[in-house]
Amino acid sequence: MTAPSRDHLLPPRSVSDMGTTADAGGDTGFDHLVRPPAKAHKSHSRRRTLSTRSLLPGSILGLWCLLTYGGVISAQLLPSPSVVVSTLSNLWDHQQLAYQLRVSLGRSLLGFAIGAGAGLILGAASGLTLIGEELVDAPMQMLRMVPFLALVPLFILWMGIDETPKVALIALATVYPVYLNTSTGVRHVDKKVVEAARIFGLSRGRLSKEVILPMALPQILTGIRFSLGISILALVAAEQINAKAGIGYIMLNAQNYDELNVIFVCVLLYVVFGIIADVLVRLVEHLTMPWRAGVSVR
Amino acid sequence: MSDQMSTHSFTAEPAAAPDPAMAAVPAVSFRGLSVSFEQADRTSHQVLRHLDLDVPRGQFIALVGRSGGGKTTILNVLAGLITPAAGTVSVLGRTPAEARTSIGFVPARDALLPWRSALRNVEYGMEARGVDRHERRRRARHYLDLVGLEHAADRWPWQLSQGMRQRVALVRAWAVQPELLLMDEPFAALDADTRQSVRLKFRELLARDPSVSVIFVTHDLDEAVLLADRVIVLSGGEFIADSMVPPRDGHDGTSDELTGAHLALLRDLRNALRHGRDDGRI
Repeated sequence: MTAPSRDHLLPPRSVSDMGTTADAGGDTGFDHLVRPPAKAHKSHSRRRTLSTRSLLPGSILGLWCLLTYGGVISAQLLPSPSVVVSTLSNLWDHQQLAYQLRVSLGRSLLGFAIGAGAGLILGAASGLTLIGEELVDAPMQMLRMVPFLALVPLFILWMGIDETPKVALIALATVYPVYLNTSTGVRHVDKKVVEAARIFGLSRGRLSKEVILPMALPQILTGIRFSLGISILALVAAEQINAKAGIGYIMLNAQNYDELNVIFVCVLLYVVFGIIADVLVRLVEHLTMPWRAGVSVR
Repeated sequence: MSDQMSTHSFTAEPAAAPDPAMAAVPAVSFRGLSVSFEQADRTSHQVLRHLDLDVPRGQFIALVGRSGGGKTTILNVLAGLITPAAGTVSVLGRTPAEARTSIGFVPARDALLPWRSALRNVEYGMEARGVDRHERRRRARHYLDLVGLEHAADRWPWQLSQGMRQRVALVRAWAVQPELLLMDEPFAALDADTRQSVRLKFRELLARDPSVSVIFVTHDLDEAVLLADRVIVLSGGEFIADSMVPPRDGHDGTSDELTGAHLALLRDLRNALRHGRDDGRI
């Protein structure tokens, strides 16, 4: 009568006594413990990554083939891949595509260099010094809200229709992302690290150069990445201004003569520009910040 | 309020410095030190009120108090990062800014530069002071060896555990061969086991060079009594206790256990800290 109730008061003798209903099959007492499944070894091979990455673009290409060769959409509205390829080779042979590309990329890069350079200098000035912030920050914050596309007519009035307004437009569009990221990146550098560096006796100049700017570099590069993308965007807008050469010039002509396939080629070329820009920035990130390898979430 | 304060205050004779010649110039000395910060509502908040302190050479002082008590502010004044509102400060017989070249600093979080390897992080304190390249490398390797990090010299900071990072920060300060070491809760970010082992490394370093004076900020009274020669309790911007720690004979530093006289001291200091809170600011 009393035995069961007293048993109840006893502390569990082993792990197996707890939780499991006393089946007590094995003599080890740990039968109910389960070995956690070994974490599947992640063989994130290069080949698999590549195939995953190309899955979406590949299906889009497939869909494109299906729609055009299957005759779902008329060739008047959507040219087939083979037509686009032949148009591309045609452009290369008869319209000096290589030269046009050089002109467009040159505009884009020159504008970007001016814009990003100014953004970097202004951002550093605003982030590092109080007087810089007071001088620069408020005007920049106001100006950045002006859509640069709205300035195209103004630029034409001020600078004519040559190269100047095109490059100026790209420069203006690319200055803000670099400015914003540089100034906030510099301002939000870990204060404790800066204090430690000061106590170790680093002068103001060396502090900025050797500690603060490198620390803000990841964010500065984010700004540069944004800016490079925007420089392509601004290039398209800029090349609508009476272009005599460049991708935009080909595009304008095609628009006038209803050459849909040529427009398609130009759009694809802009896509290629975008990809090149992105790869470029990744490369720079990789080269300048080898220490960041471990920050990745994966 | 102040008379109530005095009932809890301990007074102790400052310890005699090991070398009388060096004692002529104290490691740290300030008189009437006051610091105030302007608050958001434009009123000024007094963080330190008319403090006097003399730290003889070679003394290890622990500054204890709750957060916001002004401990770190004192360190910042000594490092020359803050200009006091009133009072005179001398560090190693010079102004704080001039004395910087003789100061080592260990921050609470390691403050390592992520783009430098462990070795290069140790070098960077010396670099700022113009130690030549060859000597820098030699010393950095030597000190990393001393704290058992020779195998980690070429790793990036993110590849190191928190305890390893803090050891790197420790030897970065040591490698500049400072006369005065400022430490701001250097072990606070570590778990108990790691803290004990890093502390042990720290004491080994300290034992090699007893002439180094240390100002050690902590909120942990146990740690203060365990490590320091003298413990000062800070509350509401004032010193409310100043006690010498009895010698730790035979204490090899491997254990964090305190006994006898040390426990009594700990109890007294804890009381002081508690009362300091009771009659403190609203």
